[in-house]
Amino acid sequence: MRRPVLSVFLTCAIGCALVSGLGYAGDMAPYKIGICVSLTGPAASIGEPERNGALVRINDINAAGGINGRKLEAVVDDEQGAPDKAVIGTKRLIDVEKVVALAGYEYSGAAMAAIVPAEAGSTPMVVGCVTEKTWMPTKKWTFSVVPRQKDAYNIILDSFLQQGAKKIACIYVDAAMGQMAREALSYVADQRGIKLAVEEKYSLGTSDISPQITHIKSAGADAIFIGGYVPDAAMVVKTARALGFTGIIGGDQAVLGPEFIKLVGKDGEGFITTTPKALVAGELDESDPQKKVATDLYEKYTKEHGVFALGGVHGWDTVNLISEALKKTDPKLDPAKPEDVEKIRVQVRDNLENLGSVIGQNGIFNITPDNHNGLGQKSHVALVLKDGSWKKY
Amino acid sequence: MFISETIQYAISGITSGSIYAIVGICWSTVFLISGVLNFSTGEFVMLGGMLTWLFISWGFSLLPAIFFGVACTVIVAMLMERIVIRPVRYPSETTFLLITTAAGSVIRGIVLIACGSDTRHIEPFLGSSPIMIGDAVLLPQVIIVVSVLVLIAGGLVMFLDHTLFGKALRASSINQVGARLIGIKINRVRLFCFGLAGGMGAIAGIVIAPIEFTGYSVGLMEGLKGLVVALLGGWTIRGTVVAGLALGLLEGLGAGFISTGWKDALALFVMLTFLIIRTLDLTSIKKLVYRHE
Repeated sequence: MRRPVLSVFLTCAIGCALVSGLGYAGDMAPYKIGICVSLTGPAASIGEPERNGALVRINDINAAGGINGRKLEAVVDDEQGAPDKAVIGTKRLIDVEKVVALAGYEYSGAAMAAIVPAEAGSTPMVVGCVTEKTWMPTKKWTFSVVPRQKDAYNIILDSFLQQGAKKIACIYVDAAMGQMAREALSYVADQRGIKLAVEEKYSLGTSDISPQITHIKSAGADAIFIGGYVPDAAMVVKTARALGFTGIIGGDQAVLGPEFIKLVGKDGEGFITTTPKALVAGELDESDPQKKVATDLYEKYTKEHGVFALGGVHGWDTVNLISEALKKTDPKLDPAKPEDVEKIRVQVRDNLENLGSVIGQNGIFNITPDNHNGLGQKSHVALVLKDGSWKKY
Repeated sequence: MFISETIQYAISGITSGSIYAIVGICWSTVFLISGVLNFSTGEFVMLGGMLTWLFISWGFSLLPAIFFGVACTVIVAMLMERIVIRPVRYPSETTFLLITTAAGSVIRGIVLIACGSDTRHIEPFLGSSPIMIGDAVLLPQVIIVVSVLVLIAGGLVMFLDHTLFGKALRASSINQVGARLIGIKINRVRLFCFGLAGGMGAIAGIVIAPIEFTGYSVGLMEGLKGLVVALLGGWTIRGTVVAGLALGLLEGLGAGFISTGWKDALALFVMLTFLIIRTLDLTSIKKLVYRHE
């Protein structure tokens, strides 16, 4: 009885080996791109869309024949929203997987931590997280595709004041992302001569936020700004409404996506935030240079991955920039050889700084040696939550 | 203003405290009667919330969804006892600790794959129109949480003190060999305890889901705080209830008056201090553990 089983197994094994061998013989080795995002953990609701957006772009490029005759291959690493996991994952992508560049990093804390191994490993890294500390001051190997928080917050502050807010409260998650949100908000408020009425923070993954809301209420605030991720921002909104807060609520664009709307339900009506253009692709003017890419991403994303979420934009942009830079590398370099991978990395980095203007989802990039982000001020659109979906404000 | 603020902090503290207390009771039911420190207790809380959410999303109305949510969790808990606890050949606390921790990760992993990593929300059972106490707001859901605690703790005390099976449970907790000698089927008792803990944990997870949300990862923290409360309460039902409410109040008032940033740290600090003092008096617990060998 044993023999047939064994021979079947062997046949399969040899078959597989042959097929995969043939596959490689026919194709040239692919360019590997490391995509480090959190698929589990507290930031998963933005990490997963970021990966999806990256995959949409990679499939696009592969369907069009790849770059320099080579396909792109995504190597996805789950950093679980934890800085230590991000460091380990990044090291693995650089040293073991031999990726030509790193993308992803939707979670600011993880991205800040991963900069260290990326810089040390001389590998270009394009992050999709909100903090501008990733690219200010400029680091040699690190780039960012996310527009500055301050520009977005200016828009939110405008709409707060327009609705008659007098005392603005800020509540933020006690993590890199929230702290930067607080700094950015008080910076833009300062410039207009406004002082924040009260500042509250909470720990990531908290289960009860009513003490903070009570503080905000007793300070007499009539508008709340939230710098937090989806589940906790939703909890702030729900708790505030439950405890009888009737003022305006708005916050960082990290909440964009279907999960937030589901969680807040009716309590979220009137929530104000900002968005990159892809989310409102249908409402853009025909003359808008980003209309084409935005519509394209929106359609492909919703077809392949269901409801569109913000992370998709950043994922798409990170891969897009890397692929533009890869196009200008020496096609003779073979990404299967470790010594060539190092050369490709250097060329990708240098090319990123000299791409000229690239139309992306977050805006039109113009990366220079001094500005590793290269986005202008007009990258955001104000949004409001109305009748259960996001509308242009 | 000061009084209503204080009431508000206290309400928030009592809400989370009640949940800690119920989870603590789950720990002590299993530990006292079978000597197993069940580190997947928190996962029962998570399962209750997530399964109920799942049934609701399949179109069940609230009560049947709760019923099936609790029933399924009870089944999972009993299966766990039958499949991973009972077959252990050389039982010791360390073995059980490792096994239940592993079982907990398996449950968490299955839920993650089946339901995704999103946070979920169940609508409040009695609507969300608040009851005002001065300027403080009391949500109807909080009343449900507290009454569930009262019902569970009261019911359990009645059951253990006044029914034959309850007395059999207490007998097994005092001396397993003796209990077996007088004809109590220890295996069946242990199976029952796991089911009971699963059911109570699930109910805790369900009633808190409208306030604190639920998701695949909520079990870990709830479980840990429950363990702390059970330890502080000396593994008795009355003690656990008191300890749970005290820890909750401490968190709530501490967050309100000292600093919200210190909320979790404060509770952990008091807990550590208490445990360090308690080690002087750990002999009673040790006796209890070693008696089973």
